Amino acid sequence: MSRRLGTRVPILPFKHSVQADPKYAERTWESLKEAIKEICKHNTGVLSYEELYRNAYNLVLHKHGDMLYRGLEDCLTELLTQVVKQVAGHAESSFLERVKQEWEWHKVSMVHVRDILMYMDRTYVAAKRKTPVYELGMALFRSVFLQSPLIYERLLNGILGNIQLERKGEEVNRQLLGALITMLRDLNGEQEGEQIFADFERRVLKETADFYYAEAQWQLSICSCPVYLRRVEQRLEEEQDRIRSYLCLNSPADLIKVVQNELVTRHMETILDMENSGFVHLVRNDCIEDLATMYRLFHQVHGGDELLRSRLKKEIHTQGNIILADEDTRSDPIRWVESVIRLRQKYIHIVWHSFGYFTTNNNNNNVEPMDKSGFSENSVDKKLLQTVNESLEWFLNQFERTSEYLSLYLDHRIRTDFRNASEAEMESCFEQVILLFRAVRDKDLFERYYKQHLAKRLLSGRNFSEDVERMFIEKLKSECGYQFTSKLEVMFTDIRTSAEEVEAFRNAVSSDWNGIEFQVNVLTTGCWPIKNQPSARLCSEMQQCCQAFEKVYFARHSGRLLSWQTSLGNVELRAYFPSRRHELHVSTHQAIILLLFNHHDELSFRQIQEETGLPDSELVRCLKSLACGKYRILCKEPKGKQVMDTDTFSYHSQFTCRLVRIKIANVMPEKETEEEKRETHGRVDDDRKPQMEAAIVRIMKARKYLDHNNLVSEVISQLQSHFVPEPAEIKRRIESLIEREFLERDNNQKSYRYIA
Amino acid sequence: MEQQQDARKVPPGYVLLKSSDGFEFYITEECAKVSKFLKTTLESGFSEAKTGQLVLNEIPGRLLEKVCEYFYYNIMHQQTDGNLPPFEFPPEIAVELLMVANFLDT
Repeated sequence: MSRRLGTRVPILPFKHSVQADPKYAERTWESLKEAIKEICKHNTGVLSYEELYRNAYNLVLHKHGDMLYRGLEDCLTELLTQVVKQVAGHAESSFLERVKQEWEWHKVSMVHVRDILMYMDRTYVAAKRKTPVYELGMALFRSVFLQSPLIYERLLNGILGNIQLERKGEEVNRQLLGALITMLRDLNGEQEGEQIFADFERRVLKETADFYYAEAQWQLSICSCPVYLRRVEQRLEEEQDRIRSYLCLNSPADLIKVVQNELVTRHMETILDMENSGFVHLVRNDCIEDLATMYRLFHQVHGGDELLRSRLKKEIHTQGNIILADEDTRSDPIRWVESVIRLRQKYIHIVWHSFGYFTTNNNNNNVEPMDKSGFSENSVDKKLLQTVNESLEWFLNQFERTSEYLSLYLDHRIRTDFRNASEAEMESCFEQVILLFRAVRDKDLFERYYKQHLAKRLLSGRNFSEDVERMFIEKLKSECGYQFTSKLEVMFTDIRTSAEEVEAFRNAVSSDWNGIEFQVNVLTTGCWPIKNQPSARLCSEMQQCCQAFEKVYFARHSGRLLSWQTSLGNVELRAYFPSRRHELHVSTHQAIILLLFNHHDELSFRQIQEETGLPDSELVRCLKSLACGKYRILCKEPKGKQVMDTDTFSYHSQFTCRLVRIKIANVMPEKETEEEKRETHGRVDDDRKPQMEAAIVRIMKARKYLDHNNLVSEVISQLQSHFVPEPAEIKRRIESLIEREFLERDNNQKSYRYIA
Repeated sequence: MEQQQDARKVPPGYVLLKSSDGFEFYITEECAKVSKFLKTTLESGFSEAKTGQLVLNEIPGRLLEKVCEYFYYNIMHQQTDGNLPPFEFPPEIAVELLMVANFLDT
């Protein structure tokens, strides 16, 4: 009797003196054997456990363990061989059921046998390192019963056949199949030739592959792409369900992979390229749900993501090229930008709604693509999103006027549409523009255009809302950093301080100047995109104003230089025509031309030029707008659409118009002419040179010594946020710096050294 | 086989142990299950499990009494930690008791 807490001390039992009979062992074994047979006939209830246990105990005790163990093995083998014969006789319909029955009986029987031979398990089996009784029973069941040629193939084919039937849509006894498959798994042996479950798994996979191979061939020939995709998804769900309920394989993922491989991986190209229902069709028709299904399936298989990305890219390129090829759109900045924005939104929408992991659970279909509140950040396929952005980037940089058009679009929206727009509308418009801007490579070019348009808006004084402009500039700032917008900020400050200057001027000069309401904007040189043009000769009243202002201004700020930019000014004139009085909105140049006619009735082109000092091109423009435009305030001799330097002009006394206020549009196309474009580009290039040089010097100062290729790539990476410099241009800049002795060439010609 | 089952019913929750010399001991099932042998017996499908009676032909009454005492002793001290009061038995039956313990797997 062992103490509960003490370690077990092996105690050799005393030999009972009772059994001297040599036949005792055989007799006892015979009775045990009979009992085991009874147990296997399920007659356990009539046997006395104590007696059987005592018999086995005594046998082991008297060193007959070997005999008992071997006898048990033989006895079980014999019993199982009989079972094989019985079961093999069963017809197909009840065969599987019978196998399962035998297995369950055998398990119960083995528990009982193990119980009566418990003492042997404890001592003999442990000492001799034999297989314990129960496990022995299981192993015999496998080797004698299951692996008998009469049973094995029939059993496996039966199970596989049932799975096949279920795949074809028939009802099968899942419980029975589950029990049999579990049996196979429990009986799987470690040794070669005993791995029946591994064998079974292999065959299931093969069978599955064959079945779905045929299924794919058939379905692809009759289904459209979305139907096929749904079918595949349903199949996968069925397989999952099968695995959950009875097909308990060791590696269910393998099975799913086989199905995916047969149904999806092998046919990806076919699925994507189906005519009238393939990928392109789905994208063009915004079939969000179908695309989501496609994504779910493709995402899981090898190579699916890459293929989807490449197709999406191709489609965006195609659509982009359509926009690029459309002459009407190409020539209209507003339409062009709008169609690009639409294009972007379409694909972003598709990516957000179709190409995420949990999008089907999200019924929030009205969510704006950019409104991420309805999605978790991780749910969207980042790589696909990137594909869309990259494709757009490619497309935007394909078109050389993107920067200009973007700025023009902004200008248009700010000047016309935003007067009654809500803040949210403006916000979303700006957001869209910024998103496109992000993709533009030559950011400095955009800056240049934007500045030009902003300057126009600021100086015209009309349709100008600082809040709106600031809103966009804030966005630019967060996109490109403080430096990018610093000059823009200066422009705003100029306008504000100008108002103060004018205020001071008005206070200093108490009276109005001949009824002229004088307004000046003082602009910081270098911060405005303005060519320094020679000032036109102003009429005397205006000149007096200017001089008076200069006087006040110089008194306040000594040491500054003012240069008058008459080309940027606006004038409101009150003109008395015979019909009625009109208010004319004209530019300063137009105004000085008109004012000449206060004293003259008729003037030739050359005379006007002499009086005003305007250059040819500007004068032609002004005269054209006054004599050939919508409102003809001047008459031209001879008549015609074009202004020649031989023409003469006179005051148009018969002028009539319903409106009191007339705005004379300056004949100045919004879009740049080719010449101006070259000029802008040239100026941008000029701006780039010092930037590149500065970058080179910065890098070399830090590195002291660097080879050519590394230097070029560093320069590119530093300037990337503004523009992408040409390597050839960088080389030219390096050469120029060498000439100016900032750098020197190393001996091997491939490296440079910084000269402090 | 001991088919001389008594008409007396064993009360539920109890087990009847009979010694080789005819002594009878009623003990609770919980106590009986201290012995792995008795536990398996009672949980198996053999005849003893149905009747709740066990004839132990190897064990005389004087030993079985001590065995039952031990069962109760074991159950009583199952929850206590540390030092237990010693389980007393006369030294002359120690050897036989050990053999019985081995048989009963206790």
